[in-house]
Amino acid sequence: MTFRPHLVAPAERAALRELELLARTTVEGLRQGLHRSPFHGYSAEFSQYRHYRPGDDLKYVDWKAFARTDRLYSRQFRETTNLGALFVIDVSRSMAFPVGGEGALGGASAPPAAARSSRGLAAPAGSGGALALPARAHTKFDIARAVSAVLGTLVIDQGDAAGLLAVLDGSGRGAEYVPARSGRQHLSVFLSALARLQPAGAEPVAAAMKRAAALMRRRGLIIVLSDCYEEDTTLAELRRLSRMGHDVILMHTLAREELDLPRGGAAEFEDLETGARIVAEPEALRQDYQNAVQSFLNRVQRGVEREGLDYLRLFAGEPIEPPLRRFLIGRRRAA
Amino acid sequence: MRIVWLSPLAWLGLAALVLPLLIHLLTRHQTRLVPFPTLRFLRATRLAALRRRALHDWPLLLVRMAIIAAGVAALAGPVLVSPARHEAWRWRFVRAFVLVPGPRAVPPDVERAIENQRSASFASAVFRPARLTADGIRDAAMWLDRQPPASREVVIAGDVREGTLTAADLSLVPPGAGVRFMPLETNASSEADLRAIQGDDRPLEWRARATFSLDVTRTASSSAPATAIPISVRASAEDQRFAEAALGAVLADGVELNRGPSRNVVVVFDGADVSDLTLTEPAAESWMRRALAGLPGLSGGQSGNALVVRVKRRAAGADVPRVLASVARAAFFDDLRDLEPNAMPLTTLLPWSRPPGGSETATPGDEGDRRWFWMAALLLLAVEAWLRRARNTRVDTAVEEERVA
Repeated sequence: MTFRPHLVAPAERAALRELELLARTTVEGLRQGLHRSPFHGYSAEFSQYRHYRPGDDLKYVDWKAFARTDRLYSRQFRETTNLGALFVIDVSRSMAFPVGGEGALGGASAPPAAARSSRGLAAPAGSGGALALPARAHTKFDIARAVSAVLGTLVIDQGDAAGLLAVLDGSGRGAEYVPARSGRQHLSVFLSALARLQPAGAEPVAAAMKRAAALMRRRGLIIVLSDCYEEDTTLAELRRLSRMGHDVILMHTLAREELDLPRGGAAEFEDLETGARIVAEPEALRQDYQNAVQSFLNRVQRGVEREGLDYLRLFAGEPIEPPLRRFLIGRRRAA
Repeated sequence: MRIVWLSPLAWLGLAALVLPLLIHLLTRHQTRLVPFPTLRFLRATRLAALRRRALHDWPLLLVRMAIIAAGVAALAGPVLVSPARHEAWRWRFVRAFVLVPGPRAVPPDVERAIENQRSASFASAVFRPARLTADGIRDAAMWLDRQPPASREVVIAGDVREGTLTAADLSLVPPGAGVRFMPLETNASSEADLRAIQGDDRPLEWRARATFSLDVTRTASSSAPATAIPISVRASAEDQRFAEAALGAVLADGVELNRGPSRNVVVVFDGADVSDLTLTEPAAESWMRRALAGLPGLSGGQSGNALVVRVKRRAAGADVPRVLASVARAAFFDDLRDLEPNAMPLTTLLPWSRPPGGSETATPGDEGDRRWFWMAALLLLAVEAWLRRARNTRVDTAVEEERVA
């Protein structure tokens, strides 16, 4: 897979500017709480110890500390210049939910644009100072893109490399790949590639993770943003990436509307991925559906955490800064 | 083999076949479409889901449509007409017996013969027209049309009098159906035991041996005045006295009338002087003209308010009382065809006869064939239940596999 530089078309500039603004303001807000970067690479400069995770190179294990404490610790190095972060984004059609950006039910749970004032989310110019997500950030994909923009900016700002990978179809040409690079100029490239992505693919995110494994020759940070409906293959690839020594984070992007069935009478549900349809009576299925979804979420979270990986659940239409802040602080503490 | 439908309007029930499809299509359009990221959780919660397979499960749909079609076919009253069934119909007989109206009662032996034939028939009926044999034939024909397919026959029992039956009357018999005549003792010589007319005015004793056309068999020789019936007789000069004596004997014996006299009747034999009668020829009243038109032995006219019946023979012979009795009785009916005393000879009736038949043209009746279609519907119901169970088992297995996975 080769990287082809893309000239930002005039029509894409607005989306790009929006993304840059979001990333910049969110990162500024996050930095106020994070004194140190939560992302670490593997340079020669020793930084600190952390608990051993399966897959860590045994040569970094502090055996003396083990002899003293009977606990395994792995040496960690502060220098992030060697950190290469790759954002693997699920661009399958299910990520376009809720359809229309307001939810399939006419905005059943989409938050108003001016709600949830939160530090770090500066309002677009002229909006009166209210903190808000961009107007088109109400689908799962929008959230994934926004988080990728924020974290990618964070990584590049701290001098590390960030890249992007998304697979649209099974052919070699249906993919968007931005190799992990550092530098301000690369940030524009990164953000413009993000702005171009659309959730119209047919491939599950596991295909992209498989390619990521092939592309990432060195250990690095892999952040997977997906709704994980192909949980078996997704978890399997996560385990594989972790075994390869990568630092893997799963950001589970969801929409509140899919945790429950819509109100009202019988409806014909259409699968965004396959186009299959089924008529169902929501009232009769509601409880069972909620239970099934909850058990699915639990399975995914347990499957990720069992491997010692990081898991974050994000909901479309909701501010991203608070959960990101909590996650990154928790990650820094764990490190 | 062909199928005849007794209630073809029942096929409108096939509209019910379209209803499930229409409901499916209409409700599909009316049900709101909700794009959803995945249906895996809806499939897992299959219970109570309105799973609209329609048009994806063709075998089940076809079986259900076949059930409705079989039920509708049963309600439409099918009759399977096979060559074997045709042959069976040909060998069963449906007979309509028409008893010719007349004063003479049906003899016991003829009644027995009729009863025997009825018991040997698949179906039979007896018609006793009050006035005209043609009425009985018409009723018999209507009854035959309603009968199930069989060899059909109209049996006309009795002595058909001259002019009382024509080929037009027999055209009422359904095509292909047979016609058969069962005459009684026709034209039996009614040997009236007459004493020769005496020179005095002793009443003529007369006793008829034959029962044809007379209801009375007793004799009376009283001198009681004759029944006050306004009937008189005219004959030639030499026959006049005999004719009057014969009339007197008949009236003394009693003539059973169906109703009271309403007109004068003059019976005129050949040779009589009718110069004082102003006959309106043809008869002034059309009904009389029509009635007398077919009677070869009689003609009629009207003179004033008297009905004149001309007998085309002399007032001589042993059967004069019989003729007079018949005329006297019939003269008080509206239909003068009853006046005709002579029966049609068999040589006239035989050409009108034909063998029984018509089973091919008869409209089939309910032969109980709808039971086959009900059985087919029940069988298809069992197939439908089996198909549904098989599909539910498959879904349950898939759901279980998903859960295990």
